[in-house]
Amino acid sequence: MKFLREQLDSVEPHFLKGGKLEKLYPLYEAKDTFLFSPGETAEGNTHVRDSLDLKRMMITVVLALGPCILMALYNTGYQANLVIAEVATEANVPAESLQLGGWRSWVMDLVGVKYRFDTVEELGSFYTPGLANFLLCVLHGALYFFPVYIVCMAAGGIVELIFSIVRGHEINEGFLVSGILFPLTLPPTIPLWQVAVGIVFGVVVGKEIFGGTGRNFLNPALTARAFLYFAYAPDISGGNVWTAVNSKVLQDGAYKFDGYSGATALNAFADGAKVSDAGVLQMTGKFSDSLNGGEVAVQLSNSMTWFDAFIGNCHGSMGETSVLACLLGAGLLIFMGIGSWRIMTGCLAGAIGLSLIFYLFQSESMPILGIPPWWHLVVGGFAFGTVFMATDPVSAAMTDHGKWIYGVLIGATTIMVRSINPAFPEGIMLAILFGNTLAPLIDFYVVQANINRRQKRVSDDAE
Amino acid sequence: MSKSAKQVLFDPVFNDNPIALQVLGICSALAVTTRLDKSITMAVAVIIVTAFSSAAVSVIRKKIPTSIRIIVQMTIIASLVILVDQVLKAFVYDVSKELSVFVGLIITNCIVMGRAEGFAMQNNAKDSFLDGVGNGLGYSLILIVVGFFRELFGSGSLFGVPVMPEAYQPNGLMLLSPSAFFLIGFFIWILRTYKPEQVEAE
Amino acid sequence: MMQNKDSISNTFQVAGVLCLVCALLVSATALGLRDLQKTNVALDKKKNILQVAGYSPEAVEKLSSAEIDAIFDGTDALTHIEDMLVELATGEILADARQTDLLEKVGLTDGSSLEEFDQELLVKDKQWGTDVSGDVNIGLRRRETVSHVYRVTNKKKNEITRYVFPVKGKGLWSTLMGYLAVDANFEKIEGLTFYSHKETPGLGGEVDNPKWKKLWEGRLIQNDSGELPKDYVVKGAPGSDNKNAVSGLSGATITSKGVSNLVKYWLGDNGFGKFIDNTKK
Repeated sequence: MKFLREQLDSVEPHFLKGGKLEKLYPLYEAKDTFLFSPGETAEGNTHVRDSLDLKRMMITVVLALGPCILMALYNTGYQANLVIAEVATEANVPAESLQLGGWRSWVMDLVGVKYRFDTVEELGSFYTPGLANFLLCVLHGALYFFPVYIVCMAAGGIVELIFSIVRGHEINEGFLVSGILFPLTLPPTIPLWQVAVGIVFGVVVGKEIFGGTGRNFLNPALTARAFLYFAYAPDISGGNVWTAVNSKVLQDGAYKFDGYSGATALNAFADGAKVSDAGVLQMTGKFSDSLNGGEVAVQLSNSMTWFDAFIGNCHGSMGETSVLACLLGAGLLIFMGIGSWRIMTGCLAGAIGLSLIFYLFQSESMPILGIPPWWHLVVGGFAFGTVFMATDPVSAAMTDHGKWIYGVLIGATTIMVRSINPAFPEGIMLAILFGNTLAPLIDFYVVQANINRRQKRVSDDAE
Repeated sequence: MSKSAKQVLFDPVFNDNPIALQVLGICSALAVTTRLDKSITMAVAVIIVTAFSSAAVSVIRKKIPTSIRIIVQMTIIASLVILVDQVLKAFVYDVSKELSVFVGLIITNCIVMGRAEGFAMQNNAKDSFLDGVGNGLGYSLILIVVGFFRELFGSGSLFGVPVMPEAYQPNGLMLLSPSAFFLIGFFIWILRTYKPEQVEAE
Repeated sequence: MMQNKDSISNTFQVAGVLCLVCALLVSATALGLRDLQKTNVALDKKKNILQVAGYSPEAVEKLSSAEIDAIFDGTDALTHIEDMLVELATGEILADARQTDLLEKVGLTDGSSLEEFDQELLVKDKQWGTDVSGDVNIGLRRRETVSHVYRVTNKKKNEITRYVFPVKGKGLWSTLMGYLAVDANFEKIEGLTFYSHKETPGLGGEVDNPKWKKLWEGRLIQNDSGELPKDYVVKGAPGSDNKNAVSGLSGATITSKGVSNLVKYWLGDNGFGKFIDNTKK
């Protein structure tokens, strides 16, 4: 420890004003304060109101994301393994001949574990996989999640660094949060170069243009996602991207089947699927054999219950499937006073309110209005967005009344986009960005209303 | 405060750009820049209209009654726009089909009207003509830059000819209008970093 | 001495002279360029038809306007594309008298102007337009009762190779306008192209993708039981037993559905179905 301190201190002069590496001071500072508490003390009157500083706040958010990250790893792996096992059974081929696609198979082979199961029984159910299979699924998921995460941190980090150097700012922890939120909102099959392009756009346009962390009026992670969503739509929407499988079967010396397509619950609803009386949503998935003229090679059917969606046993973006994990995170954020319970409750109220109205007025011609309100809350990214994105203190409304309005607006807009706009099955991303842009306006009117009320009181008193 | 002809012509390109500094004419800049050939056709159309309308207004500026000043300017601009539109339809039909209503909407382009009222009413015909060309050039510069990037990244081609490698995946956002906002925003950002005096005082 | 420029008489004078000059200028240009513009519109339409009449997009680009005109007026050595007006309700070719009526109605008087006839003008007309009916939803309320049909003949072999129908229908954001080509026996679809739409680039906009357009070639019009199939565009890939449909555009469910419906509508009895039945006999 002492050695490290000495090392850092010995190079410090180079980075201070006048040193030859002056320009790289932010880099030095970031490393220094990450490893050690800053030694500087404030001079004159201090204005600390709370021991909660930016660093602690950001780290708490990362901790609150823990359950989501774990579920992202496990669920991504489990869903992929499930599909592999089902295909092996349906197509009656040994699971050994099914590849994960690319280097991931190679890594799994290198680790030397069995990652392909011949039957679903062998894999076990989502809830009781057994420790060995659980770890296997986590490893499988990690092979998809961590590359995305690493690319995101590297690309975004470089941009942050460049801006810090040019502007002479210090690098702060704001990016740690954006850098983990963004991968969690992506499908597992997202091409890595898109991750890099997306986060660079998100950081520059969502944040740096407006002056960096604390001055951004948009959530950078969502800006990045929205960019990818509109720029490279086929890789982040539709039915082909939600499962981390690119299986190829080696049969008679030739690869067959690739491109598993399985819808998310919201895709299924948009296509007119209905929840059965027993509370089951029936969906289909299929392997198309694009190598051999696009024939359907294997047709799979899968079903999900409300409970599956709540726990997170379903397709979707990596971190968004589990509502339970989001609730755990929400608990921590509210307990620590970082995430606003007003915003979260507002979102919930807005979503329940509007979806209830739609549910009561559903019609034959628009079956999508018939999604039950309690399903709206557990499918798609509603929970994840509400807990982690909408509550971003920088881009959300600041006033207490404003937070309620902002929350309800986001909740209602989400349902509106999901139900009314046929182009977008999911609406939470657009709703939050919309809320972000309106937040300053909401605050302005809340403050203005307050001023008017007080002025009225003063003039009333004066009479 | 009389400017040399060179200043009148080139100031609007970087120093007093109608889009980047005055933020005029944004609407058509969003609509017609998905392809470079569309951008250039539109740019030429705007240059012609601004230049000749300014010159025409300037020539008769001493005769124009104050009360119908704006109407006279509008009539001249509108006639020129229809003229340009007809010529485009006759000679470059493919592009004019794509530009559709936006050529007609040059009438409502604030740049044209702004130059006629703001410059041509006070200056001689030669300067007004140059000023019109200059402002048209300033507008064109942005249009062409935006059109270049939108077509290059959005379709992987320039003038309709594929230039990107086979493996390039086109960026769909670039074909949607918001991307023009981003690009114009980046352009203004770069321009004001280079010429800080253009930043508005807060 | 110059008259006061703000006097009433001067105001009227300036306004009058200006109006006169501008009006003259504009009408002179419009008149002078009208023929050129008309040729352009007609040429553009012909190019779109050629896209599904067996010419690749590159081949169409290479043709000069004279060569294109030759194909349509029958002087080309290889191909002849004839333009006919068909009454959709009966499937009969429009009788001469009615055709003259119709053309006069839209202001086309001389005999050679069949190709200039724009059937979109009829949609809202009380006599020549009708409400869209039937169980296939193309998202439009009205349609014309008379439509162009283009018959493509191979002159060397002296046989009809294709028929080209104008088709249209709603996608997600916009009405898709295009041409559908079928073979002479009305068994197969030979091609589908859209010349106007505003679907999302990268998703629904992929209807313009040459790879996707190629999928349509050779798809059967009827299914095994001799009826129009349920869908012409299916989600994901059509199975090997489905000879009618093409695979949907990924991420563009509504556009895919729209294209499927419009093909089905215009091949059905409310579209060119009667014409197909008549011609088959």
